[in-house]
Amino acid sequence: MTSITSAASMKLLDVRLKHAGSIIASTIGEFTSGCTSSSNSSGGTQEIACLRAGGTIDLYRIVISQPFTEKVGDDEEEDEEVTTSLQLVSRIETRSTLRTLHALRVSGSKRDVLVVGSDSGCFSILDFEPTTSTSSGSSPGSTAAKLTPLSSMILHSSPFGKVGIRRDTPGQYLGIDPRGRACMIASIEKRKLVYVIHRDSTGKISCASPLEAHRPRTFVYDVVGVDNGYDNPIFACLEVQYEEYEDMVLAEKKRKKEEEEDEEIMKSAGKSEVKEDVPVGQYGDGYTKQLAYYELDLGLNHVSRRWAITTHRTACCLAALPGGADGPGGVLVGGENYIEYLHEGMVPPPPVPGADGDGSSAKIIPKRMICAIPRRELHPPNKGILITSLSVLKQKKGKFFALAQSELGDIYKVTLTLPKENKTCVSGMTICLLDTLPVGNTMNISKLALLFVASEFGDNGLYQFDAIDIEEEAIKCTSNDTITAFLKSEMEEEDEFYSKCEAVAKFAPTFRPTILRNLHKVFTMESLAPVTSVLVGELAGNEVSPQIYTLCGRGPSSTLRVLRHGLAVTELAVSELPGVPGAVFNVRDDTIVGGGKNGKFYDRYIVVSFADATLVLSVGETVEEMGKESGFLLTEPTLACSALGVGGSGDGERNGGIVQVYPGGVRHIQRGSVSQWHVPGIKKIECASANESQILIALVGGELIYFELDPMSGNLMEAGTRDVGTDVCSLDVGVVPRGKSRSLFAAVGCRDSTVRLLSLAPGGLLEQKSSTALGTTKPHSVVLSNAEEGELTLTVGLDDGSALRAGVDPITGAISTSPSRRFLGARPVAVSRVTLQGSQSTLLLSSRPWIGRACNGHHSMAPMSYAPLDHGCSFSNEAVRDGIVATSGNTLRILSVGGDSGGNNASALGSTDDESFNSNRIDLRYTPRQMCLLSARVAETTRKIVLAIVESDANDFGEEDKKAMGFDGTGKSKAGSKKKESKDGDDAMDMDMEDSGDEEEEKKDGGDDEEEDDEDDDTRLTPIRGPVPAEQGRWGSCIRLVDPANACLTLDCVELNRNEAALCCASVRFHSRGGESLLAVGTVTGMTMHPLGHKESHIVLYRVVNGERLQLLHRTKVDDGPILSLVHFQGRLLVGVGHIVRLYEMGKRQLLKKCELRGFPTMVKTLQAAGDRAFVGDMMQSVQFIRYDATSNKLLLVARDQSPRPVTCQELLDINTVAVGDKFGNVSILRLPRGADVGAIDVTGTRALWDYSREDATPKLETLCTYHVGEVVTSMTRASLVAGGAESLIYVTVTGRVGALVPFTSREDVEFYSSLEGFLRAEAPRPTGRDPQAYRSYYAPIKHVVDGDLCDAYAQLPYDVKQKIAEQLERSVGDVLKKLEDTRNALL
Amino acid sequence: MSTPGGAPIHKDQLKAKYIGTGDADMSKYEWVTNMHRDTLASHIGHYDQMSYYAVAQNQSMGRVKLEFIEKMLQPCGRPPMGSKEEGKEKLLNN
Repeated sequence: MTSITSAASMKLLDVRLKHAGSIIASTIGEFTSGCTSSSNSSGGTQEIACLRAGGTIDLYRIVISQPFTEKVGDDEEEDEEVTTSLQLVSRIETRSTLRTLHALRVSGSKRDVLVVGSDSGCFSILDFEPTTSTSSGSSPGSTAAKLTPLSSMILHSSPFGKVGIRRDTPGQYLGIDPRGRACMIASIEKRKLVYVIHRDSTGKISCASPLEAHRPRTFVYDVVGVDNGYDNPIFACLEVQYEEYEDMVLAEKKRKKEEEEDEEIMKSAGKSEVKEDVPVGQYGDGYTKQLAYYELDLGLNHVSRRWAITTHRTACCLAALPGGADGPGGVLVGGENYIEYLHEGMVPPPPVPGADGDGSSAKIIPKRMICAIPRRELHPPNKGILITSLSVLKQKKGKFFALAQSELGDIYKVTLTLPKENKTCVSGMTICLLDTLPVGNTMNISKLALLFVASEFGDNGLYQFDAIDIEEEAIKCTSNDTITAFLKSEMEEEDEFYSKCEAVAKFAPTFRPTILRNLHKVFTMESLAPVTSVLVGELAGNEVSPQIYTLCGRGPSSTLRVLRHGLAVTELAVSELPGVPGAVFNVRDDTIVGGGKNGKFYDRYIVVSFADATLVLSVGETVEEMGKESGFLLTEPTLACSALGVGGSGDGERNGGIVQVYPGGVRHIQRGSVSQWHVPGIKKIECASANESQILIALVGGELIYFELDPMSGNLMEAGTRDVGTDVCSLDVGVVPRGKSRSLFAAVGCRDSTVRLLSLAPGGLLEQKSSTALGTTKPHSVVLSNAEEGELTLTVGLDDGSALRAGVDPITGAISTSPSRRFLGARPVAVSRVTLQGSQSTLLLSSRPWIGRACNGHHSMAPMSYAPLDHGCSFSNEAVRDGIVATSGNTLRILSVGGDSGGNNASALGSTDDESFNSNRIDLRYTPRQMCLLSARVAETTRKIVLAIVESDANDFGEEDKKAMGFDGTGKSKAGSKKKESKDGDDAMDMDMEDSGDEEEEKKDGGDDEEEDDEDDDTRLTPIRGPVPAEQGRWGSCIRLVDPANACLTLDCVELNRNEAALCCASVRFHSRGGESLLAVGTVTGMTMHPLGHKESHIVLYRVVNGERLQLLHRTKVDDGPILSLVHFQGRLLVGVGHIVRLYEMGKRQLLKKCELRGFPTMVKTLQAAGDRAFVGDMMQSVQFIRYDATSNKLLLVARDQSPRPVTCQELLDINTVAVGDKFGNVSILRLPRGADVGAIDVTGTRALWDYSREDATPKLETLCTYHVGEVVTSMTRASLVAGGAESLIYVTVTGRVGALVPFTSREDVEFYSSLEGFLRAEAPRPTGRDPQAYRSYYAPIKHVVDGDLCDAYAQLPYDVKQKIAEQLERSVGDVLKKLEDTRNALL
Repeated sequence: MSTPGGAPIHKDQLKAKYIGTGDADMSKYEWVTNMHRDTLASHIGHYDQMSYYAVAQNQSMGRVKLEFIEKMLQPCGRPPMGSKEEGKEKLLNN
């Protein structure tokens, strides 16, 4: 990182490599329907709006059907496999901390708008509206998969309070009146604001100033808008009020007094009974949780607290039920073990018929409509299961149901029984188990029988319902059962009974989580969250550029993911060819009437040209070699070939046949007959290009001859000639735009290093329109493509391995003056047109294959994760829609780009930057914590790099314990055992929940499942959290050895038992052991978090045997605290133990303590070493630099940081500089001032001990850079992402973002970016009303870092603003965009 | 202190309007309680920090959030009482 450290003041650019995957909240609605001509024309298109961590709002459209379906051929869709996907429609960068969002449909409006709660202190309403709806669906390229450019409009953004996330700044909760008349925005404490929303005559939405509904000393848990028909809007809040401080003190005094009196009485009675305090948060702690209705009186314009009722003490989430004419109204309250129904004026539940008989009628009549949830079999009875999210779907005809998800991930279906005579009162509630999914933040149920779960951690999923009327056979619990159980119990109070977990455990039915039965996954939205560690390196051994290794996920969804820059490629077929081909072409199939399904043409032939022959392969069920019957001339190489005519009609009238250009002439094959045109004289054709109606050939010497298909006769006519005066290297006639008869321009690459654009219009045939000079290099291939409607792009592959791309004016044919040039590889670049996802793209082949595409208005170039290719063109048949046929050496390969053919294509290609990485995943057992590389000796001389990963899960059992308990994490228990278990389960239930009929039903189910297992196994698999231990301090942990060179296969996995948790690892080479790389693991046994404590901690030393197995060397018990960090230090091991740093030497039986430095402020979290210095990150107090003095065998404090930073990760930049990430999402770079250590360090080591503790005596670190990333940075590494490129600081965050801090290399760049950022701070839209600069300075003022995200917003600005900024920067708009693109390209 | 109009603002009024406002007679317990409530509220509002804790504790975010809000009720337990504590508190406040 020389460029960073050599500059006196460091300047960095923050570049986002991958968006955060976590979704904070999501909502479903119809945000754009009616404005777009999307494939799903019936009714509105449902969209899901997601708040992503890091300040992004994404809008996804639910697309059902074949992903690339054209509108024609709807009738043929029936026999096609339906795929469902989420397609990114719009992305808004808010540059603020987002908290919640909700869809709002203002009454009378046809679509929803989005209300967002953030940290900006503003109430903001966003509207998504299409900008250009004119072009949709008129070109062959534009399909459903293409992004319709959407702009978001900020409808309303009015400030109401302070910026930031304070306990009294509203924005944490949003409650929306279901009729769209009002909206409540609430803070955690006290403040609630109600906005009344109006629509004026033009349909514009406006809000008046807010009404206050504050309640002092009140914490709010959830807010929801109650469906109240068209009565006054009502908002339901779940809240607890705490007492005032003075009252609290008085109450405490009184309590103390009473206690003392009690004690005295007890003493006098001779008993010693200690009354235990109820922990806060449980029933009896002195606080009551209330559900309160706040009514907005529309007439009086005033909000009042209308009604309140005490509810379950642990309640934490709400959902409103349909009301008015559609249902009973009211809310469902989810808490621990129970879901309760509450509504103002609700009638108490009807008497339970079974419970009357057992003489308990004397007891109080139960008032609460409450129902227990079925429990997991292995869940400890003393622990409750919390319902964390609720979601309601309103169906047709007044029907509705609710889904609830528990903290373990189980989804329950909640149905209410409404008596026939009165639909507005609830007489019963049933909760049945639906399935187990990853734990989600929110659930969105679509009307299309889909369920979107935004997972807390790991991939987000879209699921399809297979069955929803499952009440008959599912494991269920009803409100009658619950109330009966209460009446049977001895307890007097309802609240007391419902707060006892043991009581529920007795009567609630139990189940064992299995694979999905009623749902199956249809779409996965990738998310890396949480990433705990990152490592960059070329470890696979055979690839060009380094991979990024990330440790992701939590618990059962833990993975090691290998990210590679570029597009994922699936190899569909590889076949040997008789020689090394010189070119490959595809020929469209015109024989199918109607042009195949959905108006798409498939390929008929693949034509491979060799030095002296041509091979024709016919494409059908299989690819077969064709003989002479194809009509092709097989004894000559082919220069170009194409199917002629408009095609698609198939009736032969407009079918123009096939043209083949070979060095001696042009051959036109038309329904069996062949007509030829021979080159006059002895000249040969050097290169040629053909499309559906035009053929351009170049003879040696530079003579061009142009042919056109006569649409009437179907023959080829020579239309014109021209001599360009120099040899021609390559030609392209472009594609015929849809609805036109010819392409208007041809590009000609000449040997004099120019590319010329010739007109093909009949007026000025072969007239030169423009040209561009290429400098010293020659063009290798040229391609004209129209990626977007009406836009023409010229791409030139150059001999020096770079590619040039320039826009071409579609009318004048002028080549734009600012072409962008990019180096692609070491070989001349061959360019060809391919179709990907229905859009025109270019395939650029150098020493690495690349794909260039236009998306979202700008061009992106991505490498393919594949071996080098020589020639390629697009390929399509029934099985492979958008494939590529390419040659590499003497093999022919058929590839598909963008992942497998599953539903993930859209996500792989749909968005702008998420596709720039493709990932491989390797499942892990527990939450991964750290990893390190080890160099293991395999044989005498060879070494092998292996990756060691330590995994540990708090609050979980180890693998063996789980097995002993009978838990199977895959959920794929065999049908036999499942049946047995279900029987056991039935026996265990004390109620006759399921009669024998049900049991049979279940058996049948089991059989079905097994069949389905074989069919679509992976769509039904779901991560299942292991059994929860009853007490704190249980851990499951293992140490894994992975071989990165062999697809990251696990070599060895050592399970730690006895509650031991491996938290950190390091590779260490003890000098005393001859430099062998050993694995040191720091473990803690029985660690608890609240309060922080542990039993003992160890350093465990492993040796890697043969590069495949871990061998335990010894364990060293360590006192004084948990071990969180280890590092190799000068042939020894430096360990952070609690607040001590200690140096160990290797011994025979255990490690030997050499020296230590005590007195770090709280706990040593991170450690790094360089030379004789070590860098210690403290959990609370930032970084300290220490030095080892070998002569006196002492560790000495060199310098410390001025500001307290709760360090989460650190990375060394050089011996004086360190980058630190903290818990609040900041990255800072700290440096020891030059010469500061000289005077302060006591070289002799005789300085008195007490001097070190003196604050003023220790040099302070200087802060070079500060930047608020917005998400907790969990790991950083210094690496370059391309082989031989400049190094940058790669960081990952807990919410799954991957970013890079790139050092600027030149003064010019710094100036350009700083001023661009300055302009954008003023000009960029602020959807939530947050100032971008203030956001990046959240905890400390931003310093020396340029926000690359903000600079990228330039591309989305309106043109006049772009122009204005560009003028002030003294550049053109194209130059600015090119500069932005170049910076990114230099990184990747 | 007074409003822009000149009307005096009483301390209690200020305290009621702006939660967490301190004064000279504030006890250490009250101050610390306020600090903790502010901190916890900030943790709840920042999604990334919540997920950081949820991963560490291996609990669902819903549970962590509930626990944090519950903790805000009495972040530092009950107010210290008894002669000894009272004396100590006075000492600290002086």
